[in-house]
Amino acid sequence: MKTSIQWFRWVGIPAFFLVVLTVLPLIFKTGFMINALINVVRWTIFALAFDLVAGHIGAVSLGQPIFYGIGAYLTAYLASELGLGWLGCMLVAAVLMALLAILAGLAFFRIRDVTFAIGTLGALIVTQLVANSAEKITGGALCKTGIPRPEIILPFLAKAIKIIQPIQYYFLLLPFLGFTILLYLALTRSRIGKAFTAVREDEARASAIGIYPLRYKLVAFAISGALIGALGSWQAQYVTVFCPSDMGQDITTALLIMVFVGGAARLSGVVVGAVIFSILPPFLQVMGSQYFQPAYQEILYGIILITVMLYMPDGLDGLAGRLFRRFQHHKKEGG
Amino acid sequence: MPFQLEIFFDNLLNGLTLGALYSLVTLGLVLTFSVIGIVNFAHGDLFMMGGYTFFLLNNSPLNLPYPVIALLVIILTAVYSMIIERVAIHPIINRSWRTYAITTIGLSIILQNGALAIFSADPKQTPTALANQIITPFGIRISLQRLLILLVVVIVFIGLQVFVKHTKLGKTMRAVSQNREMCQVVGINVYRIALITFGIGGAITGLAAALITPLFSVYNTMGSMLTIKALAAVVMGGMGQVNGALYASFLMGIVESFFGGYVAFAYKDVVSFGIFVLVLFLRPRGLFGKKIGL
Amino acid sequence: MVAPYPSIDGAPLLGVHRLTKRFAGVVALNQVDLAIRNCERVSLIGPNGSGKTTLFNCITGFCRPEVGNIQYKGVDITHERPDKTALRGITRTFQNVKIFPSLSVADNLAVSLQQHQEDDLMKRILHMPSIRALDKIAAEKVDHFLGMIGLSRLRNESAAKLVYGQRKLLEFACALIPDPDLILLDEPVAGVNTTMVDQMKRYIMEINEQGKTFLIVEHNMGVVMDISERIIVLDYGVKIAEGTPAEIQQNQRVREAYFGR
Repeated sequence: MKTSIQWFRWVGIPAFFLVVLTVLPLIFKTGFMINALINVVRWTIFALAFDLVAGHIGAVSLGQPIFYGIGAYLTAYLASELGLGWLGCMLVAAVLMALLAILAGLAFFRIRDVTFAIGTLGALIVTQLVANSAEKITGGALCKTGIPRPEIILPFLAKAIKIIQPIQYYFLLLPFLGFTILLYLALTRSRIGKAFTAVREDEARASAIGIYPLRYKLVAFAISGALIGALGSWQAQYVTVFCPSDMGQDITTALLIMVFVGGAARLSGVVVGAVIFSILPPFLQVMGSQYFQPAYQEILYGIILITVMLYMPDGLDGLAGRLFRRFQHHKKEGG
Repeated sequence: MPFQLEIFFDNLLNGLTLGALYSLVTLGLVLTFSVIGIVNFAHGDLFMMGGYTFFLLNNSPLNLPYPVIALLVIILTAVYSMIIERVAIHPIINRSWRTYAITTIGLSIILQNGALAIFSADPKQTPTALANQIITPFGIRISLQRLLILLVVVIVFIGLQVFVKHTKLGKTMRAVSQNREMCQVVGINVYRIALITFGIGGAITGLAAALITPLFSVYNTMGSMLTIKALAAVVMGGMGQVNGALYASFLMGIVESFFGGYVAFAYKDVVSFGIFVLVLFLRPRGLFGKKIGL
Repeated sequence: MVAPYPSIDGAPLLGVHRLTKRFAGVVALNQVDLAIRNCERVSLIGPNGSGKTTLFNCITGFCRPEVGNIQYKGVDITHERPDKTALRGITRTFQNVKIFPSLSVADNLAVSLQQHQEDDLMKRILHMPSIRALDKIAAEKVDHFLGMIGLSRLRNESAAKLVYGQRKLLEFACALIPDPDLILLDEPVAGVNTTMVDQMKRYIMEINEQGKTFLIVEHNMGVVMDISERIIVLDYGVKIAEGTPAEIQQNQRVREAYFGR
C-alpha cells in the first residue's frame, strides 16, 4: 500500500533527477557539459551495479570490470560481424554477462571474505592479461578499433539515424540510467532487499530463517554483471575503440571510492558518490592548477576514502543524514 | 655446458630468484595476516617505498657502501610500516574484513600516486657493484646478488622459525595469532604486538627491497603486481600458513620463469594467476596443509 | 530407514539417533539419542562444553554429524541445508543473540517471516490482489509480535539501537513469527533481569499451550525446573540422564557432572 509520501520517495525524487538530466544538455549545449553529463550517468550506472554486490550483499568483488570489458569486446564482434543494432548488442551483452556472473558466482561464492576479494582481483588481472595477449580477438594492447556506431531505425519515418554526436549517445544512455535506478529500487526496497541485508550481515542467521544465501548472492551478482556488461556494450559503441587498459583496476578503485565514500547500500549515497567523484576529477583538472593533477587528486581521494572508512562508515551521505537529523532535533528542542 | 642445459639452469636460477623475491615479500604479508588477521592490499607498495628509498640512498652524494644502504632501507621500511599501522590499521583493527580491505586499497592509492608525484613515472635504475659481479660455478653464470638473495631467504625463514618457537616475543606473537581474545584476557597487549608485527613485516620487506632493487628497476606501480602475487601466494599456501606461503611463492617464481623462458614471455603472468584462480576453485583452502596460527 | 525412538504415544516430532560429531579430535557429541514429542517442553542441560549447542547446530543443519541421523516428522533431515530445515517449521535462537543490526525492528520480524509465505515474483511485479493480501497478513503478524514483546514504538528504529534484553526478545519473536512447530531456544534467559525471566517463562508456557514444541538449552536451573516437562542431560557429548525435573534433581550422575567427582 503506497502512501503519497512513499510514492514521492519511490518515484518522485528519481523522476525529478531524471528530468533534470534530460533538460540540462538541452540548455547547456557545450561539449564539456555533454561529456560531463555522460560521465556522471555512466558512473552512476556502474556504481549502482557495483553497490548491489559490494554494498547490499557485502561481497566486495574487485573484478566487476571483467563484465564491462567482455561486454565491450562482445559488442565489437556483434556489431561488426553480425551487424547487431544498439539495443541488441546491449541486451545480448547483458544476458551473456548475467550467465557468466552466475557461473563465476557458483565458483567464487564458495570462498569467503577477503579471499573472495583477492580471487576476484586475480580473475580481473587474468582477464586483462588475456585481453592483452589474445590479439586476434581483442586486438591486444593495440586495442580493438573500428567498432561501428549504432543506427536507430525509425520504421514509421522510414529513416535511419546514425548515432554520432555525444548528445545522441547521451539520450540513448539516459533511459538505461532510468531503468537501472528503477531496478535498483525495486530490488533493494523489497523483500529481496531485506534478504540481501540479512545475507550480508549474518549468513548463518539468514540460513536459520530460511534464506538460502547463495541464491541471493547469485541474483545480485547476475544483475550487476548484466548492467555492467550492457554499460560496456554502450561504451564500446560510444568510443568505437576498446583497450584492455579500459577494464583495469582503476575502475575498481573509482567504484570503491564512489560507493563507500558516498554511502554504501543506499541509493542516495551511491548517487552522491558517483556524481561527486565523476564530476570532480575533470572539473579540478580544468581549473589548471598544478596541484590538481591526477596524481594529487588520487592522493586526496585515497585520503578521503581512508578517513571515511575509519571515522564515517556510513559515508558522506550518512553523515549528511545524521547532521540533518541532529539539526532538526535541535530545532525542535530550541523552538 | 650444452646449450639446452644452460638455458634450463638459467631459467631455474631466475625462477629461484623470483621465488625468493616473492617469498620475502609474501612473508611480510602472511605474517600480518596470521598474527592480526588483516590483509594489507598496500603491502607491495611498502616494497616500492623501500625500493625508492634504496634509490635515493644509492644515488646520494654520500656514497655509502651497499651494506649500510641495505641496513638503512630495512630500518626505514620498518618505520614506514609502523607509521602505516598507527595511522591506518590501528583504528580499524577490530572491524570487518571489508573495512580493512577497502582501507588498505585506499592506502595503496595514496602511496602509488604519492610516488608518482614525487618521482614521476619513469623507472629508476639502481645498479650496485654486487649485481654486476658474475661468478661461474660449474659453468653456470650467476650474479652474486642472486646468490645472496637465495642465501638470505633461507636465513630469514629459518630465523623466523627459531624466533617464533624460542623467543618470548615470538611465542607471544604465535599466541596472538592463535587466539586473540584469549590473549587480551590474559593481559597481552595485542595492539603492541600488532605494531611490532608490522615493524617486522616492514623490515623483511625492506630487506627484500634492498636485495632485489639492484637487479631490477623501481617504478611507482610495481607494488600492484607484487601485492596481488603475494596475495595469491598467501591464499595458495593456505591463509595464514607461513610455510605454505613460502612454497607457493617459490612455485610461482619457478613456474613463471620456466613458462616465460620456454613458452611465451608475454603470457607468464597469466600462468601465475591462472594457477591461482584454478587453485581457488579446486582447493580453496590452499595447497599446503592447515595449521591454526603462526 | 532407522526405527523411530521408542515412545509412548506414536512417533516423535524430532528424533535424534546415535548422533556423533567430531571436531578436530574432540568428540562433541557421542552417540546421542533423544526424541521430542509433539507439544513437549524439553530442556537440554549440562556443563559448559557438553555439546548442547553442537546438538542444536546439527539439528538445524549447521554442522554435519559423522554418525547418526536426525528425523523430523518422519523425514531424514540429517544432511539438509539449514535454510531448508528452517522452512520445515524449525526455528532457533542463538547463544550470542543474533539479529540484523542494519534492519529496523519491524523488518527483522518481516524478514524472518517472508520465507514462509508463498511468494510469486510475477504476481508481485503485477501487484496482484493476492500479493497485497499476503503483505497485509505479514504486516499484521509483525504488528502482533511487536506488541507482544512491547517494542511497537521502536518498530522503525534500527535494531542496532536495542539493548541486550530487547534484542533477546526480538530474536525470540523472530523465532515465533513464522508459526513454527519446533522451537529451539539457546539460553533464552541468559543475562536478563528477573522480570524478563518471568516474562520469558510465561511466553513459553503460553505458546506451548498453542501447540508449539520447545527444546531449550538453559543454565538457569530455576527456569529449567519450572517449565520443563522433561530434562535431558549431556556431559562431554554423552547423554547421561533423562527424566522429569524431580528425577533429574535426584540423579547422582548429574550432580557429579556439575559439581565434579
